[in-house]
Amino acid sequence: MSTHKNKIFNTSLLAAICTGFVATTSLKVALSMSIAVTIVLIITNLIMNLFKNRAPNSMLLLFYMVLTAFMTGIMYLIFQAYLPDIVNELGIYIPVVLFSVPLISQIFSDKGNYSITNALTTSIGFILVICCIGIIRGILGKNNTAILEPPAAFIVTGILLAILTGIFNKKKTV
Amino acid sequence: MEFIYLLVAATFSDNFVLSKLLGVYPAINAQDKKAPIVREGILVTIALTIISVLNYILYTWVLEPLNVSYLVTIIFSLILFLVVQLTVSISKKVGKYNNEDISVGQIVTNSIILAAVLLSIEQDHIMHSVAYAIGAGLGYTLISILLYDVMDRLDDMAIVSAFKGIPIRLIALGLMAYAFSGFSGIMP
Repeated sequence: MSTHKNKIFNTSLLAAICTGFVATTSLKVALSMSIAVTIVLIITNLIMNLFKNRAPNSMLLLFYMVLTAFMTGIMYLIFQAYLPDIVNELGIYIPVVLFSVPLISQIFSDKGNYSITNALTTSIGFILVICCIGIIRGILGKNNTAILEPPAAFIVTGILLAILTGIFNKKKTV
Repeated sequence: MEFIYLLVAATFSDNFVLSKLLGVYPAINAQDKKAPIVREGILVTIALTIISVLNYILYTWVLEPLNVSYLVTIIFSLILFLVVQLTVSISKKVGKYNNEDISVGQIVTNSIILAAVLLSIEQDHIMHSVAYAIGAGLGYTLISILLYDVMDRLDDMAIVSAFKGIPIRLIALGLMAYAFSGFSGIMP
């Protein structure tokens, strides 16, 4: 079985989208979660760029994980203070998504080296796709609560990714 | 009895991949052989059990009495790095297989681990948290193996080219999730 290479979605973006499924029940949830992920990702990468040359190479991943966990804790406290209704809805999935997506974008990226360019491209793509899924599930779920249940997230995302791939590949060849 | 109930619930009816939407990417990004998938699942299960026991002890005996339970993610990340590093290197020494296929990053990025740990430290007994962790790991292994078999058959069919790869896997996973939601009926 050969893994099919996708042209518009690189590996780190796809993995990040698949992790962010939990936060796609409505547009408000999707937007606030993806903006929080972006803030964590960019601040962590900026700090890592300062420490990159001074630390031993094998310990860089540990530094990155601890920094991400630190930022995740701060963001979770901010969520509890200002957005309590999202905390009521998602609960412990907020730290899970905030901790996993920066790690994924670092480890699965082709460029490596804790670059800010990679963080920016991943976070912009993440915001766009997660908000698209949030809008679709939010609108369809108003009349039909089956869309808000977990299995529908897979099917909506699968069809959306296929449509995006189809449109983009057609434009590229013409 | 509670142990078995939690184990079966976390494996089938309350499966982490299908009903909690976590760890989806490592499950759908299947490799070309079945052995590495099983190996990764076993490693995730072992690491998850050790991490959840350590985290439960630290959380209930150190963090909660000192009233600093917001530090749990930082403690978790330190324990995660240590345990995964040890598990991978021990398995490479003991297993004696050609191991290009399993790396530390592959297990660290699995979002099931953090979710299962955060849910299992809220259980009221340490054996319950062990059962929850083992169930989460077994459920993940089960879904990756099942999805590998589904994809093996789907590869021979004629699919529209836009759907090839990740989209058709996601749709197959969604249909599998509808099938697995029937397991919620076996629970009392």
